[in-house]
Amino acid sequence: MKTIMRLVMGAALAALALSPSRSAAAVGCTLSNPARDLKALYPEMTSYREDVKELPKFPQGRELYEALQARVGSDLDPVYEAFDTPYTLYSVFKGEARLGYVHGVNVPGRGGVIQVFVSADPATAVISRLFFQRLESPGGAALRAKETRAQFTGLSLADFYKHDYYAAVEPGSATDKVAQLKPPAELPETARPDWDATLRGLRKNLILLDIFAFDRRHEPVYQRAEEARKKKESKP
Amino acid sequence: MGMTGRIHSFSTLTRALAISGLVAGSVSAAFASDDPFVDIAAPLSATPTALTEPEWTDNLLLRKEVYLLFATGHDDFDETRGAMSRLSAGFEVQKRFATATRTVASVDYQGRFVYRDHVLDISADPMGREAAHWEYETHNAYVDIYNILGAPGRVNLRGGYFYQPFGLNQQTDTHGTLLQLLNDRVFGSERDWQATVYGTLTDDLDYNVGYLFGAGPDFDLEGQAGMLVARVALNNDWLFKYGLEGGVSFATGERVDEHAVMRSPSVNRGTNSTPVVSTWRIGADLRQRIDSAVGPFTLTTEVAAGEDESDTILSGLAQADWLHPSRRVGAAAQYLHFWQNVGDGGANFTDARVSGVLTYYLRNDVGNANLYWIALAVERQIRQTDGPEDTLLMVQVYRYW
Repeated sequence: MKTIMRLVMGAALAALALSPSRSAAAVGCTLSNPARDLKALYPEMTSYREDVKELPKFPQGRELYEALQARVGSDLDPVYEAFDTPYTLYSVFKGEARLGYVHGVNVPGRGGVIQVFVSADPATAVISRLFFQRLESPGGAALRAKETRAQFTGLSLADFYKHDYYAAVEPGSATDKVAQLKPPAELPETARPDWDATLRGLRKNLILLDIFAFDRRHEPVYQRAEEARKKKESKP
Repeated sequence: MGMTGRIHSFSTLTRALAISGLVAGSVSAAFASDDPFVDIAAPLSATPTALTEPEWTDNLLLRKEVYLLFATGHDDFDETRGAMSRLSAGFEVQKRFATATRTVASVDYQGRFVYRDHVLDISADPMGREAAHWEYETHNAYVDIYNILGAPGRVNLRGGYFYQPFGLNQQTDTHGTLLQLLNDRVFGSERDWQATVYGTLTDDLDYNVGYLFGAGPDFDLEGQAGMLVARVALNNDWLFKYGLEGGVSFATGERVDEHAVMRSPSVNRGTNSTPVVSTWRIGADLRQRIDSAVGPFTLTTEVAAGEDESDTILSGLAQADWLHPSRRVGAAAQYLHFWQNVGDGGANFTDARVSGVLTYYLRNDVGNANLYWIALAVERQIRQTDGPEDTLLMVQVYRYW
């Protein structure tokens, strides 16, 4: 009887374990100590709010996920960047005034996880600060250096979309801000992929932030970059 | 979908239409100049979205859990021809509560229906020792109230049933792993009903101070006074900059632990044969992550010393973990040692084990939001005062989604 009971329960649980996911998971790329981390970014902060964002809960969530992949420009990793990966959007306030958004993503690096966070202006969507949380990289110290991260201040998602056009059509253009980003000189060669992963992570972060917080306001730039690039490339 | 979602959807549609018009209407004009983006203003400013209260369904998260564990002991199988099975199905609910500008609280509940048969004394299932075939187990049940005093992060409150704030347990997710940390040996249970205050202590340190019922996993109230516990630990700056975690912990008071009474005549005498044990512990812990091109290695150690009644207790754990950068494959090894200087002529009590685990992950979300793995483990019981030493083989399937 015991054996039958065990087999029945085991089979039922195995079937449940192997069945497709129906609801999203709970913990995304979060700040491990949000109060302290957000206060460090915004010393004038008086309060903050956390909102969990899940693409499966968005209308046309699957289409958004496919749009994310198209705009990142490479396949999304099934372990690090799955459809049901939850994200946490932090809003920082001084009284009733929103000072900024903070959002983080995980990307696969050469040596493991890279967690890329940005703080962004709520009106302009421009990056005010980039920082790492987990950074499992042999080049972690060089990537974390203040001067490395300072390069990203003032960029926006529009700059990354424009970079797609400039890189294909006008390499070396002075207006291509993303092309001017340089890896730290002291970054070990073995950690070079982690610089590339950082750029990819930042781009993914900004695309998601555009969806979660900015109502996809950068879409005209993406569409324009795509149209312009195709038009240029189709010319003999 | 809540009202917020519908508004968002409508807003997105409106924006998409506007985008189409903008692109179609201006693309030809833009291409007339060299810069195709000249007519798109940068930065793309817009009025920030209005502040709204979250809906009841916002930040409400449900997860499911299935845990299958089969274990067999080399000697035990020779004697009984039986194998242990531990099969469970559970769920977790999390809800965050917020105003328009402030996250104020959260609740978490996690429970499991568990079926066990032929229970073996393995580190992976400490709650199985006295469990019936069928059990409903509460794994977590707590409320967090954030930022109740002072600057944000300075004073937070947590109450309910959760990991004791002693050692690395509270900053480690071990709810599905085969290798557990030291607290189950230190306190007879890794969780307790309690109320704690926690937050930022200095620029480098966090603190955690609380009162524990000392009631064990079954919430036994036997007239015990409960325990005061305090922990000071390096904050997350140390983890993220240097891969380092560590802290010191202290606990003192009374707790219910029938096993502590049974294994020592002197504790039995000291408690007048009740299960209420006078206890103090002091502990230190350290965990160092070492990054490499083949994935992170993590070295962990916990030590704790103290007394149950008049018996001296010493315990320690050393563990090494490796995870491939793809997060698909991991391996770990652990040595665990517990020693009690038993008075009244009893034999000193020792429990020493070494374990190794190899895990293949089908899902391994960085934030543990979606987990799915198959693990194979071996546990060698090196010294067991209260029973025969055995070598155990374990197979586990774990899914959390």
